[in-house]
Amino acid sequence: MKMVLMFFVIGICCFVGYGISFNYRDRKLFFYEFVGFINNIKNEIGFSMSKLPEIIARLSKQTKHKQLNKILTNYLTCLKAKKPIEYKVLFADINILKQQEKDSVFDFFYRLGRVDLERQVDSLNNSVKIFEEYYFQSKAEASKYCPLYTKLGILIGLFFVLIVA
Amino acid sequence: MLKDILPQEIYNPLMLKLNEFEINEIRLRANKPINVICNTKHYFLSPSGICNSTNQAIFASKELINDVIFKASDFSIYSINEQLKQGFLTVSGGIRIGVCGDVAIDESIKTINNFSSICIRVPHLIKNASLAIFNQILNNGEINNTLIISPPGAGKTTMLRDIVYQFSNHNYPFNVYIVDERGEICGGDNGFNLGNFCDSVSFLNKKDSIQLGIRSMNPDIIVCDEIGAGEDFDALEYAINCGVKVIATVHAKSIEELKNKQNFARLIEKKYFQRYIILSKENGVGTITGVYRENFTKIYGGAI
Repeated sequence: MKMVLMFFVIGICCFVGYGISFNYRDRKLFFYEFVGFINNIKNEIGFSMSKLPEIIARLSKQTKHKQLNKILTNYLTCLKAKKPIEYKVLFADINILKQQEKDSVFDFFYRLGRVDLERQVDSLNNSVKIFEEYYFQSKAEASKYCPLYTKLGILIGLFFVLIVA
Repeated sequence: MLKDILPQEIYNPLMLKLNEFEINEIRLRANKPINVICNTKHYFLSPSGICNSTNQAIFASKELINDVIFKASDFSIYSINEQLKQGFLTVSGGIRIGVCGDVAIDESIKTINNFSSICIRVPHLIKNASLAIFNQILNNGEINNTLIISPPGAGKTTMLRDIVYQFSNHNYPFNVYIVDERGEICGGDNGFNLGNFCDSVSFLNKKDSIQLGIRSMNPDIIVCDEIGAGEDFDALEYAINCGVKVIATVHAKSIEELKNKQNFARLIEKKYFQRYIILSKENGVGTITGVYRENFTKIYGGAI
């Protein structure tokens, strides 16, 4: 019984450690997909010149990342309602972004579609650079903190086991 | 639909005392009061509706103008660049927005940006607006090539729309081909009911559109708004010589002005048009002030 309890405590602590590290991996994935999304928008606008609601509806179906998908759905809701985007609406249920990152994402969507083709493509190229930077930061954070929290989870688990034993 | 393009701070007061049917134009100029034109009368937009004084008027800002164009473009200004180059954009329902701003030129016009003023023209389908002249266009089952002449905003396009509708309404199954270069005759996706026998091609220049129509749609009548460029005349001449009847409109105030216009001499001389109809705003938009034969003898209205 004691052994089962020990394994259970270690398991719980590992799970918590993994859970915390998951957030970093998720952020990395978010920015990776977001950069891909901007490149896709750039291609769609450049080649087909389709309207934004059409493009966003199409691309949101291809997006696998849940939180990015949620942001796109929120954005699409604003477009369909013919309303200007609102910060609260865009980031409803979004919890993996820091304030500065949210500001950049909001700024990106706010500016989208407001200029002619040439300036829009330039603006999208700049956005790619900005969000690539966020991606590299989140990747560095993930490679730093993911193993750390996972190991910390195991260590804390072992520590509890030792105390109980 | 004005609701789709105007922000609430304009749309709500506008609808307090008016409905879309009454509005002809809405003009937004940066840092100037918003101007509403109903039945040729000018008003200012105020928080409580419309007024005659600038004291209570709502002023437009550049941001507001940009927002209207942004919404009208379906949040995709990059997608309407070809229209913007010509100084206007047409939105669903046939609403035409004329734009002014900074023109970016690189050999030819690249785009217009930094918008400073816009003119939103609300189209109307006024049933039976053309009844008074319909028997001049259609005489004993024969269609007369007709040119409708009027200054801007006097109801040419509305008249044209109703003429198309009346063919169907009177059970004349003529194939009417509409050359809708600016997308405002038919009104796009939420368009007007122009009867059961009309086909249209939108956003294509008149010359190509007319050739396309004759080649592919076997039209009896070609309807064409605001002719003016040299190639328009060649295309119309081609259509008439193909045995297709033409109903067209042109900007001018009188026959005299029409005669002074470049390119019209040829059409007048060859008597391609059997009827000239002059519209004005004299007693409101769409007032028919004269109907003339090909030799400019009067059928109705004052002397030329």
